[in-house]
Amino acid sequence: MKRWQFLTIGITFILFLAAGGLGVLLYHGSGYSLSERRLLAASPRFSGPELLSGRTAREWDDYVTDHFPARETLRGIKARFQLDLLRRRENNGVLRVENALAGLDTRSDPDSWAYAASRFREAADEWLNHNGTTPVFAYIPGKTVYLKDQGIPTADTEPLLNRLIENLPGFSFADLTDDLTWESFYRTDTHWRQEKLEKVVKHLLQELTGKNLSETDIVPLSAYTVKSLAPFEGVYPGQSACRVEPDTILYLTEGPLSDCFAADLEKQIRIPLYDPENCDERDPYTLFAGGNRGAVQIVNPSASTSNELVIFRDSFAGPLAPLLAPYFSRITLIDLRVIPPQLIKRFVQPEGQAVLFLFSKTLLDNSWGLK
Amino acid sequence: MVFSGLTFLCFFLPGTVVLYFALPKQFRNAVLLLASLIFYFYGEQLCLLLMLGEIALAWGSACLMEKLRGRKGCRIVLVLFLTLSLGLLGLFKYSDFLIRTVNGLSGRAFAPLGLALPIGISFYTFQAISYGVDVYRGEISAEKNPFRLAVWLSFFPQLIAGPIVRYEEIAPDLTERKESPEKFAAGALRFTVGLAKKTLLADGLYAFCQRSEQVGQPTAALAWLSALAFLLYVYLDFSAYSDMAVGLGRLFGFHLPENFRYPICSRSIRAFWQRWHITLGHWFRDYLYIPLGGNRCPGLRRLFNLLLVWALTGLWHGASWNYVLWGLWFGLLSVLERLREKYIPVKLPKILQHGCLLLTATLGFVFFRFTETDGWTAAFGQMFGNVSFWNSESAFWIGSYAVLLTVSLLASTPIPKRAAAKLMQKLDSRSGSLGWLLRLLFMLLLLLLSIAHLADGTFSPFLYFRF
Repeated sequence: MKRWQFLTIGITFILFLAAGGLGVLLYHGSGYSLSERRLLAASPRFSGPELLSGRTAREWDDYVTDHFPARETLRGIKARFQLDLLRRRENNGVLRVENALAGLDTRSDPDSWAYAASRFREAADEWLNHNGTTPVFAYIPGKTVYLKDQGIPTADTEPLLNRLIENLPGFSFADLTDDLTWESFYRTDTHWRQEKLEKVVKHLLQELTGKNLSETDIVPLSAYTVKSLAPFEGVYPGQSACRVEPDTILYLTEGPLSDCFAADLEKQIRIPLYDPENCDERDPYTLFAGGNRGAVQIVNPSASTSNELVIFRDSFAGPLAPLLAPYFSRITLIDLRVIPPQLIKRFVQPEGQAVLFLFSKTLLDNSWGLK
Repeated sequence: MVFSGLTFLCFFLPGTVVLYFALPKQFRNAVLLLASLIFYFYGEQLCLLLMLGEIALAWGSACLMEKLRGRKGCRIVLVLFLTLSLGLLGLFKYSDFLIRTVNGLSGRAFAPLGLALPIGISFYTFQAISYGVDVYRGEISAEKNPFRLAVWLSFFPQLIAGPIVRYEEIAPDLTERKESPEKFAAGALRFTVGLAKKTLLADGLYAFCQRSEQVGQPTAALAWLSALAFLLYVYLDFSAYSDMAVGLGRLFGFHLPENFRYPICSRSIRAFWQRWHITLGHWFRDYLYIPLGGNRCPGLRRLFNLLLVWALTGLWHGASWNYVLWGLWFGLLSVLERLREKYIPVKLPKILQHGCLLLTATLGFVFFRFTETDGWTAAFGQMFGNVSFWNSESAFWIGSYAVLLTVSLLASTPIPKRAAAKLMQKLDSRSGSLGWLLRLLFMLLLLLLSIAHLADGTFSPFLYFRF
């Protein structure tokens, strides 16, 4: 090779690397990653003690990684290399299954499940005060469980569920696993689809009312008007940097819900039952029933019963609660990640309502945020 | 700071290169020294003082020994130098190990000192010792210029994970090296290949090893493949670092020694260790085994010396008994190998020799992997049948990493390099431009893929930093 060719290789090498560094110094993004749904690392602190402790160095490394130019593109390149070239089944803990994504779910945290049970028990004891109501605990499995036939490993939750039931004396238990399928969930997200919850509604109503219900007792989905919100990219594309066709959120309105309204009990204001215009742009799933609010109430003046329901919930209750609204005059949703047990009575008094604790495996594995 | 980190790649390295070549030749060693000190301070802060202390100790001791040559004082200075150097290494690296061992044997509960292990201490201490002993032996002259000695001992390409460079190997480069576009390009390519080995292969193998330890139902197949993957991971991780170190040295005109020569392709334990971490093996041979008598010792004494050297080689890698077991495993096998060759001189087919080596190395590295007895006893148990051979979970993980394992195995052989060299030779003979363009594009592609993996944000330190 000629001298200029060696020079070109050397200079290109250094320029390529330096371009990355310059990009970090010159480009200032928003500080939030929409795709990963997290705050990006802040600029490091420069001071004597921080430098000597190594903290500045660590923070600088995090900052450089988070603010590297074209980071999303680079993450996508890495994902393609791992999934398409190396034929990996997952990238960053997210499986790619045909045109869908799912989080790898091979481990559960028994300590987290035990902690969750203790919080549920405290909420029930604190609020119900042993008034004879039998709360229902409903378990929502992770969607990967429906990939078992394809050889995808999933965590064995049976021992944990058994222990959970033991730790919730006085509760009745509803395992929703058989009421759902792989298609019941969004392709790009952990959450379930509202339009696929007919069987779940029937199962829960049977548990909550103690009655055996037939198909005619349940409001068919055809009674609703279907609206849509698109595109919806759930949590997985950002986490895995792997793009698949986005989802469309279908939500069921009108029909039995025509007279229903919702209220934010913390702010004491009315809110729409579905709010596609004002839902969190980072997570359109929050359009359902008040989104991430701590205490929400759905009122159905047209209900043929005066029965009420209280749901202690995680994010999965959002799409479900409107589908239960035709059967109750009032549904109160309490998020135990926001409202501690001691304050529940500020929002709803125990007055003989049916009580549902509706929680997913996702929450049970990461329950440390429960108050 | 790690070579496979964005801070090093996109800030430190370009900055150092630009400053180095922008300044006149007489300032270039100063640039390297400054860069090396910043490099070490970035990761270790006040432990920089320890390294500077070791440099001062080595320089002062060597000068004194040269002054006192032929007199009794020379030996005293050497003993003091070795005591202090090894003492510091022992204090920071082995004090808690010693305390734990005493506690275990005596039932007492002495509190550990809890001293953090300064990165690279094993490497720069051994380099300093090699320098001191070589001066004592009269093999080299003491370096009067402490600054030049500091440039060598702190040289960032090899400071924290080798290769262990003897002073006599590098002394000419410190004063008379000639940088050139050819060397720079060669260094850039070598560095890039090492970076890709680390980010694209070694890190993935590590992830596979971790996954296999977390399965609900382990199987023998997964245990074996995981053990093999771990051996490949250690090799690729460490040899990647060495590639990067050698490449970085070339950028600045230095010729650092090779540390690996495809050990996985060896056909005997002795050959394996002549090709694995070569500079460490030579260090132990020249500064421990030979002074103990080497091959001149009679039977049992020689056996004892061999096993002692192997045990200490293991202990050098980590302050834990599993590393000693690891060293003794290879020591014992190497002794058995010699005995077999002497008393049963049957020439085995090459493929069987390769297979035996791979099997024994894979088993030996199980000790390397787990510091707790539970870990490696569980691993051996799984490998030798106290679990089922196969299940769907294992099938999933093995399937997910099959291509990576295959590519890594191939990358552990000289096949890709020979194929690339043949191709380049053909292209260069047909058209100089095509070969050059391919090298350039290949380098850019590997850099892009490596940086893509780093930008995805997982911190990936080198395994040998722990030593």
